[in-house]
Amino acid sequence: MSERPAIPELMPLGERTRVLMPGLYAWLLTVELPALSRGARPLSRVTALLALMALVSALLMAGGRIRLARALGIYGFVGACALTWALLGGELSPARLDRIRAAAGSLGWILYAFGWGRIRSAGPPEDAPNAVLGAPLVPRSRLDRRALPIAAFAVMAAIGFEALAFRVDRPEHAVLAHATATACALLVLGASATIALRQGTRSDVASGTTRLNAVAVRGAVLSVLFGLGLVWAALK
Amino acid sequence: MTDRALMSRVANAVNLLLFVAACTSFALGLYALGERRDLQAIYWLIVGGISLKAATDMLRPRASGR
Repeated sequence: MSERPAIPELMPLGERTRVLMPGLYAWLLTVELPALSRGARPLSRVTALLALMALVSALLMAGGRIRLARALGIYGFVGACALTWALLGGELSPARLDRIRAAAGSLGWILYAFGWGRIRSAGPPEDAPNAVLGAPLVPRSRLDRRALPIAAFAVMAAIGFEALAFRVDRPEHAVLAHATATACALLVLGASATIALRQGTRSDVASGTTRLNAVAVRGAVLSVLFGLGLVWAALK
Repeated sequence: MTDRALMSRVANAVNLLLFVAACTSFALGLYALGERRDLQAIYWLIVGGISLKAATDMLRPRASGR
């Protein structure tokens, strides 16, 4: 008696939806719509269609071929999208771009990237194979009440930087602005985490005088810069 | 309030002030870039960078170089 061939297991519906919906959204806003514009090359429409096919076929792959599915869904899809953008050329210049659509598309790409990640399956954390069993670890200290507002302010500032970068309409400067905005956002978020965690801790932080002395030189440089700025503004 | 506690509070306030100044400077720099004022943008981004570095160095005064 011959054994029945095993039915290939599809990726769970939740996982497929988590990748498909944002991927489709990002593809539609940032790839398909520009490719359908009047001045676009016909080849860009073909590569845009290839990108969609790569995404959909990756999600229809059997569960055992998850590596191939990921290669196709990530490298194939993003590669075909990048090729489409390269073929579009001037059609993607900031002057022709709809800023709201571009911002919404960026959000779609972020969600698509997160969609490929995996979350821990539901159940007690102790059941996870990598869990280290033992007594629960108690935090050494509680977060200070000022920590949350500082972190929230940094997150809002980071979002503001990214939004401000969309105001730059010169093509070369726009790339620089987005890179600068991302760098500023990362720096501010990193610094805010350090500052927020140090609020309320007394044991390892030096005295106030030592801390003020440590920034004396940088404070002087800042004062000089502000002075120069004031002179500059007055001369203008 | 003792002198030490007072200085600690002042240091915390300066720390937060530098952090807020850094965020504001970065925002002004990016705004200036959008307004095609490139020199002003560079100025604000430099001010933001120095302010942020000062704010984080205040928390580790021994490691910071003067």
